[in-house]
Amino acid sequence: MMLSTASCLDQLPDDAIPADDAISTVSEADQAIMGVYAAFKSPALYSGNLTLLPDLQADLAYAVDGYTNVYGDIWRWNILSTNSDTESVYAALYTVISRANFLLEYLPRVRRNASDSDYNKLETIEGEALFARALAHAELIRMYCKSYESSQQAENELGVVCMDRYYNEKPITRSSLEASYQFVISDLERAAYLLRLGEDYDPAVDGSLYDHTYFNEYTVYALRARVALYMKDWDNAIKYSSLIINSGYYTLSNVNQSAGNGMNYYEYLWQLDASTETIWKVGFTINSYGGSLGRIFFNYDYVSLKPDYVPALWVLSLYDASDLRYEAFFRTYTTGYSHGLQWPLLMKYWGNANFESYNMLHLNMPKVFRLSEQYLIRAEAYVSRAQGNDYSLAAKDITRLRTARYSAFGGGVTITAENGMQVIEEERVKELYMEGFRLTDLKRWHKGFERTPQQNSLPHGSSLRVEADDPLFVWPIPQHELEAPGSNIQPNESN
Amino acid sequence: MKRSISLLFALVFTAMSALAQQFKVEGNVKVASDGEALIGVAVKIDGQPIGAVTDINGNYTITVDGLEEAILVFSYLGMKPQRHKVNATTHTLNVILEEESQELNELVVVAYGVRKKGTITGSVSSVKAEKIENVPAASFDQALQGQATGLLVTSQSGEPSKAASFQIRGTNSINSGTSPLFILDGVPISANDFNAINPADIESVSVLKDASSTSIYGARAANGVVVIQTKRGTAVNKAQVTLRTQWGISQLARTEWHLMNTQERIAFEKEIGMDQGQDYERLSLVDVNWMDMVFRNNALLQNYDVSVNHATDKLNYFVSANYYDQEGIAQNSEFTRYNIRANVDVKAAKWLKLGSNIMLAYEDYAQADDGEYALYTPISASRFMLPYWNPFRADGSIASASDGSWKGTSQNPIEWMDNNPLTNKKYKLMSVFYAEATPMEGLTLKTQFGADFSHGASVMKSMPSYIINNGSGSVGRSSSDMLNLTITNTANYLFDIDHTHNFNILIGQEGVHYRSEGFQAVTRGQNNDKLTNLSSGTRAVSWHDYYSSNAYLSFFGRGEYNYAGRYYADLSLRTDASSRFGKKNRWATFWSFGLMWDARKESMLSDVNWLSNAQVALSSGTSGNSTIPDYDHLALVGGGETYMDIAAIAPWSSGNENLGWEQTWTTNLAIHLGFWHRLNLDLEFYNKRTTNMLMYVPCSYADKGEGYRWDNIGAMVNRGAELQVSVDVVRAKDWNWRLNANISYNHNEIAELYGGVNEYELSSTSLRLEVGHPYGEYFLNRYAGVNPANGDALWYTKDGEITNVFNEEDKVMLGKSFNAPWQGGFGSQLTWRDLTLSLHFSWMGDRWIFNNDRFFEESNGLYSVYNQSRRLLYDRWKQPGDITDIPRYGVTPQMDSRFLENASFLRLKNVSLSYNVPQQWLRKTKTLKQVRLYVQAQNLFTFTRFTGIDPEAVGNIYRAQYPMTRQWTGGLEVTF
Repeated sequence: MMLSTASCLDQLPDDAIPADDAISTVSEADQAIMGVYAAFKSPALYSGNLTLLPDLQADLAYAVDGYTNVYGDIWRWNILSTNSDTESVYAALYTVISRANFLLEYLPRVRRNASDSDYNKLETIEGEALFARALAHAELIRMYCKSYESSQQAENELGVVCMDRYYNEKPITRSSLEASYQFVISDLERAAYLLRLGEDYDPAVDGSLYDHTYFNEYTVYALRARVALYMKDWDNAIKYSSLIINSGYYTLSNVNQSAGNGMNYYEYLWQLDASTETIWKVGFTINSYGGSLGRIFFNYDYVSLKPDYVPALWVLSLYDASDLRYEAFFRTYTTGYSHGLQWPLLMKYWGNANFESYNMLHLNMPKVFRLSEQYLIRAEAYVSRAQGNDYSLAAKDITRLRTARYSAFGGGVTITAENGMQVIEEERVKELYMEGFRLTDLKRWHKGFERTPQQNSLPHGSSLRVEADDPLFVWPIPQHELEAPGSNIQPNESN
Repeated sequence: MKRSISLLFALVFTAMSALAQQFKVEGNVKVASDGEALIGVAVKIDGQPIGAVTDINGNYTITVDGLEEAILVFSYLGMKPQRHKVNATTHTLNVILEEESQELNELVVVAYGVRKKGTITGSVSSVKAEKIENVPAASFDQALQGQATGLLVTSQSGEPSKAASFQIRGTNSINSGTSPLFILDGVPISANDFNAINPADIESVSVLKDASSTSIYGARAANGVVVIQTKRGTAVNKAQVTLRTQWGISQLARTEWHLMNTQERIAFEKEIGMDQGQDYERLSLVDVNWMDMVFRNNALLQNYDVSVNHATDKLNYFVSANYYDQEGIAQNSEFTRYNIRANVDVKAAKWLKLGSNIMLAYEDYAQADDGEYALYTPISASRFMLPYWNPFRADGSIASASDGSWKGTSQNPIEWMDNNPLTNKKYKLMSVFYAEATPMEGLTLKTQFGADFSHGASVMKSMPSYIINNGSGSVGRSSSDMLNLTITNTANYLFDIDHTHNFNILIGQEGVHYRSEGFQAVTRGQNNDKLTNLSSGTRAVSWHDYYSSNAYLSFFGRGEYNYAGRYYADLSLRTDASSRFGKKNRWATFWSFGLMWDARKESMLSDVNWLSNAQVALSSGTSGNSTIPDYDHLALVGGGETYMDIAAIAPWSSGNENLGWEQTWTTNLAIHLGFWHRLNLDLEFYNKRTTNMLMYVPCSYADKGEGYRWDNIGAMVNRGAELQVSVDVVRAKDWNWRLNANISYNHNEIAELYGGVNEYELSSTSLRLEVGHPYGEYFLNRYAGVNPANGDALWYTKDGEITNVFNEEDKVMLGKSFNAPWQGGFGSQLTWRDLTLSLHFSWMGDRWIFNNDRFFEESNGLYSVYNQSRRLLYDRWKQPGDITDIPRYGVTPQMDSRFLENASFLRLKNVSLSYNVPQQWLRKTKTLKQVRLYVQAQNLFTFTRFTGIDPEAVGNIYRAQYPMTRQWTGGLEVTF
């Protein structure tokens, strides 16, 4: 047995392939891009931390007395650089980037071996990988960098570590905020080209674009518009959001249209994760799914409900009587705590009914890009640019959104320099509640907030006053990154 | 200890003329211990081929031809050989052979061989069968605590089936394994398999601590080696049968419990304003102590054991069978074992010996969940549940949420456990075959093949009818197989020059191939409690499999030399290759030397009678460590990921082909002194330096998204001293009293980290690695108590000033570590005629542990809906002037030094009283040789300042631990 020494000392697992042999064919490249998509299922990203933490950290929800302490440090603003919840976001985003880069390293080899008929397929794969890389970098910038004010300011602010290779030789250090955004934009431009729809694309023949679980040309524009808004590049925000709005490929889900089973289209969007306004959602099936967005808002065990967090009172009272988003999002229950709190709970994340029938509770597909956000991006860009008839254009976008959300919206909206940002802010809270935008919005608007205790809220954390531009609006770079040898990563003010 | 140590042999002289060229010598050979005749003793004339063997009565006759004088050599396995000069006048020579197990001549199992204790240059501690065979535990490991210097044995839990944690002379490494190498009958085994071995089958356990004794094991020896030897056939004359049985009960060793009872809880709720809507009249009718609900105090233990052993000149055998059954003190915690062993040695020819050990064990066990906080697993939940919630109905059945008999707001943890059973089975086969040839005198060629196989299977169920399953249960099954093959070939040549220069040369080769694989599948949708198997589900919810394999190849040599039994020297060299490392760094060479001077044998000391032993030994050398995952040096891409039900691939690891061996260089100085044959002192000093430490080094997530990677970095130092004393206080006809004590000190220090980094905080562990400090030192904010004026919590800043702001920046290294630098044990054995009382204490000193349970129990508002410590009711700050350590209600705790507790302890590990039925009574029966009755208690007393349930826990954080148990057992041992 031991005589054949060399072979015995070369032990290989039966469930893995040497990295260099992994991607040679088109089919293997396709499996690798599925690996990139699979990384987005991580509960640290859209189906968990990245969606929930920014809104919990801000003023949208209250911890209930007796909660399990899940995300407790985040909610209480006790966020240290060793916080494992934020560290897992950082790590999971770089997992996306590394998987994309690993695939991109080997694509030239695949292309050399591929036939001409595979050319389009490989272009799509490359485009998807580039978009995934851009999206992950954009999210890193959103959580770990200060807001972008101007290119001059951004040249002098810290960005993120931009990675364009898997086998990287360059020093690992943070680029400037400007360079980081340019890195994202350049990937998006290339991705938009690679993912372009065919000239003869016809949704009726080739299938519709809405409700997609894969990236396409319009997913790229959706992120491009969002990035432009965050860069205070109003023109591009308007340009790219308009590309989507005007494409006609997406329609707002209307609360006045019935989807059957006593549901309107907007409720259908949340309870069955399907809609005409979703641009990209992370695809879940009963065999392949990520984290549970609703768990902390219900903790239902077929006996009682014990939510860790409940909506803030001020948010609940923001909705007009005819605003049917309230019915789609909230429903009052008596909780199973000994104090017996009765409160509207977040039905938005009660969970997809198809999963519920398999006893999989509180599981929703995260809808990362929706048409309504594009309207809000464009409206905010108009209000901020404030040229010509921008205010009335903004009012028109808000009206179109509300028309789809109100049982009857006849009054129209008046937007002025004075109320413009307030209308936008409130509409964003009402429409995008618990979708992970709030902390970023407060940061870029340079606003603080205050929490005051509400019924049965956890005493510790219920009275919190956060000033505008508090350093913790920017998450601390994980301690792990600062101490890792071979890298030179600068800390944030919040470190 | 009733063996005589005075008279070794008797000579009977008869005066006769010495003229004859041929003479006859006859006589009788007996055993020193029991005075019985010894059959099959080889009697040989030195230098001649002539020999004789004693008959059934121990008699022999031998004729010496052509010599005036001759030397007769009497030898027998397991007995000290004797040489006697005879001549024509001798006629009769009666000999009493003594068993080879006394003091310095005690045999100690070392690497690839057995040596007399007084001839070793290295550092070896040995624990004998009598300490192990009656331990009321599934495995022998518990019995080793406090028995040997330098060996730290800590129970991880009171779970009957869990193995203790071992450490020899400190921690050598940060992330790679720190557990010693365990060798059972020449074959490496895992500590997880200890519970498969019947403790009564063990002959001895040797702890090899320094380079001279471990280096020959090279690979994996850096953390020391524990060599376990099972019993072999030694009973001469006739087969000896031993029956043992033991019964007992287990209960909590300590019952520290600080949570509120109903009355206190109600008072507390009223004080903090949590009383809205509470019906206290009804609630106050129930008062449950959850510790009593979760832990039983009379868990049963039973053990039955039979063994037969016999030694003849052709065949030695030891055969045993064992049944062991123990209930844990927690729900769903039990262990049952069936074990069979056969150890056989056959002398096939004069020059050839063959043998084999085979052990087969079957285990059936369940383990209670511990160590993590969950509201539904009983050990953890017992701390959260309110005293006015009763887990049982009035009729004693389990209260359920389905019919409202459970009043609590979360699940009844006892109902949860009852509805989520998990059972495990393990099948274990350990076998060794060897052949030993002696083609010429002094040369032994040995080849040994070992196979260690186990199969494990578990079934996990969640009952469909359990309300939280909503009518749809789940079932999981897993299966794992492991096979470890070891082949060892050695050649040993023993020779001397003029009887003064003695040499022992060993060369050898060893190969190890390990492979394990397994899978697990879980299905859901079962809707019938009586049909809970995999296939009665409706869909699979998870499926996994795994493979792991590794191989080692080694070549080694050792040379031992002694000059007239006074000066000893040895030298060893070994080279090892491991499949776990990259091609370039796969091989490493380890060396050692040892020197020893037995001063007692010097002629100048021959008249100094009070000094019975005086030895000085020095050794130095290296050994290696490769305890890392099997494939981490490889860059790999794996599957197992899916998106939209499409199978995907993704990079797993980027590998590190430069990965190589971690090496530890150990230097040891030992002084052994004996006085009046009564007092023995062993003093040892050592210094160990680990370099090329294998560490799971953090690397930027940006770089390949991994976050951590194995690398060879840094250095760590352990140095220490060990003292062992034993004294025979009384040695009289009826009375015997022996005391022994040992104490070990180890200083650990990180000498170098990686890439110029001098400190690294391990997030959420309260620990920091810092050069110049020990591994395991706590890094926390220092709690400064409570401001008597307003009840605020206070801390010290980094600079020692008092502040009421908890600031991350103010963390400091506290100089307290969870690795105890001091440890030891002491015991007493008192014998009066046939009664023996023995006590054994073990202790650990300067050991600190972060009591996480208190963070919840004294949460001051963070977890008020769960039960809290009664200290919150009585001792918290309530009004100005109160002096206490708990702040006013609402000031929630931080992870600071307030919860860091001294977990040093002194424990009466074992006390036993045994009675040997007197021999004169037994002789009448003609069959019984020995009858022994005993009662014993484990962990009878524990002295500690630790406020958790039990101070004995592994690791830095104490949370929802399954505590140690106290056992009361009684047993009977019959030999015939």
